[in-house]
Amino acid sequence: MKSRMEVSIAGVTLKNPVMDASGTFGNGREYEELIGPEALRMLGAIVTKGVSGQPWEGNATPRVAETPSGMLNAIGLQNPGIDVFVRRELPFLKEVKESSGTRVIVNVCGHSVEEYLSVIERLHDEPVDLLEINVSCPNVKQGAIAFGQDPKMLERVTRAVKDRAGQPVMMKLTPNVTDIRELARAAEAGGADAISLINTLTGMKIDVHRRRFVLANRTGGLSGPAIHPVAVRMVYEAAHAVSLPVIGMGGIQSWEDAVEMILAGATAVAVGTATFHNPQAMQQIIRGIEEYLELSGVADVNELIGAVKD
Amino acid sequence: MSRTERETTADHPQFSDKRESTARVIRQRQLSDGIHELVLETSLGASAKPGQFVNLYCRDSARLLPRPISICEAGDRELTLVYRVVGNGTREFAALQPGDCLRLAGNLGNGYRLSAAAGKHVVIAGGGLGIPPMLFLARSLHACAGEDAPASLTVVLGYRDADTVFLDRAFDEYSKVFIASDDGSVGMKGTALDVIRTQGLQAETTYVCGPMPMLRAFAQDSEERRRNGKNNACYVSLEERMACGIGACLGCVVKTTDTDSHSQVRNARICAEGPVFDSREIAWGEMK
Repeated sequence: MKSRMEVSIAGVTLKNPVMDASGTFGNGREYEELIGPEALRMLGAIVTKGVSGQPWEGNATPRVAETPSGMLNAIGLQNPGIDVFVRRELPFLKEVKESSGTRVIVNVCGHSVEEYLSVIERLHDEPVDLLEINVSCPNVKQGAIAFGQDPKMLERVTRAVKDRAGQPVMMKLTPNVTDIRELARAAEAGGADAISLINTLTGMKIDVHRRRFVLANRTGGLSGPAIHPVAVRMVYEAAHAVSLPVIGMGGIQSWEDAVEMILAGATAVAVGTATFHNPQAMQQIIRGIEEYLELSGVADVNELIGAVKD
Repeated sequence: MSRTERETTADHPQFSDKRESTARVIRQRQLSDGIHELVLETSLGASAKPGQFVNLYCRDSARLLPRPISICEAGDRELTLVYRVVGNGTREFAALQPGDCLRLAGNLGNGYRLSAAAGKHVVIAGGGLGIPPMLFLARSLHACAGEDAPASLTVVLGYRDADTVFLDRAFDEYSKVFIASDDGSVGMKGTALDVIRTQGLQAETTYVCGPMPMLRAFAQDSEERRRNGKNNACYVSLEERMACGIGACLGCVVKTTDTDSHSQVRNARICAEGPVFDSREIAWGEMK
């Protein structure tokens, strides 16, 4: 029997609509140590930290700073590269997938279209369910956000990725644009199977006593509850501009925030910064959504997608 | 310790004792201006190692990031944390009363390598807020017996001035203690390293925790001793702004001299590979 929590993204069924937001959860293994194997395997999907073709050093430190109800980060997509990822991280994710049905979504980043393609081709025959293409990181100078802010460029990258991908492709969009709908439509025109949003909002923090930038990178991406209303608005706009499934994220820290995102039009949600404050946030959100469905007599979570009323 | 020897608990989850839990406040007191000692009832105490830390979560979710605090002392059912009140998060902790609960994650990080002290003349140097974890280390080394015991153990504590002194008597039962201060208002005038030099202390293995200039000075001193043909190892405990505290977010890295096996670049995670590093592992020239 189909569970009332099941959702489907580009033909991939998730046992529930909750996953981590890339970069906040390592590759799952790190959090398994803290929250335990059962809690990890409750998730609808695990989204990996961004993986590039070569190892990336990332930015100088300090890389993180707390802000009111939020945080800034400028990690710079540090990662060991696709070869080490496949050898060291993927076997664990494969085991999680086989033992629990938790889906595996690999977040892909690159300085060039070729680099994205090299990662995607390497994953062609691996046990990966979906690819999330990061065209929206504000913290790396080449690639990433440059591809995600220009609709023509985004459409071109999406098409290039789709041509070579062995799995359905989800384009991760940046909120640092004037009109998110244009970008959502560009991803759709390029053949994307889904879109995810929002990545972080570019921000800055200055230490007034030292009169210095708090982050070595000067700017960083703002995340956390502070950005949640912006994310809900953008998910709503994007979901109504295209017919693709949307993975909604941005400041979700409770089941109410998650349901809000689903009502705005998201098929599934990702939880990021909340995990830093509460390592079991995602598990509590899953239980919270289940109880909400039960108590409000909703037979299927899919009934809530985009169900907000005027 | 070379990087090939070093393994994180992520490689061996069966040895990990990391967990999130709720602890109860047994007592709290102020040790000196702005410095608080918080004693928590928690089973994390039983498996804590000197040099490890815990993440304390704020009750107010507007303050999202956990506060990493070094472990000052540990017993079977308790942890003692000594911290400075620096902002709203630590102000929240300072208001905790006996019986109150707080969430924490522990035990995090690698901790000091006690085996590096076996048969060696050992100096423990703590500066300012770097002093608390050295108490747990001093007790643990003092308790080492037989072949594991250090040949000698000396503690050097550095303070800014007489007004900022705390935990200065706590080490007496484990070791001879020297005190230094920047202005000479307590103990000897100068740095902890000055004390080692002027007293001619034998230091084959040094464990250091304190502000960055202190760590850098000890690392340089260790390098000079080795260059002069002396057997010397120096272990430093680093800090950096952190988010997750468990090696997932890569917020708290430090530049290393060689490629790190986890990151595949010259970055090690202070919360996972550290916070304690052999001073030779750190690319000091690239640190601010």
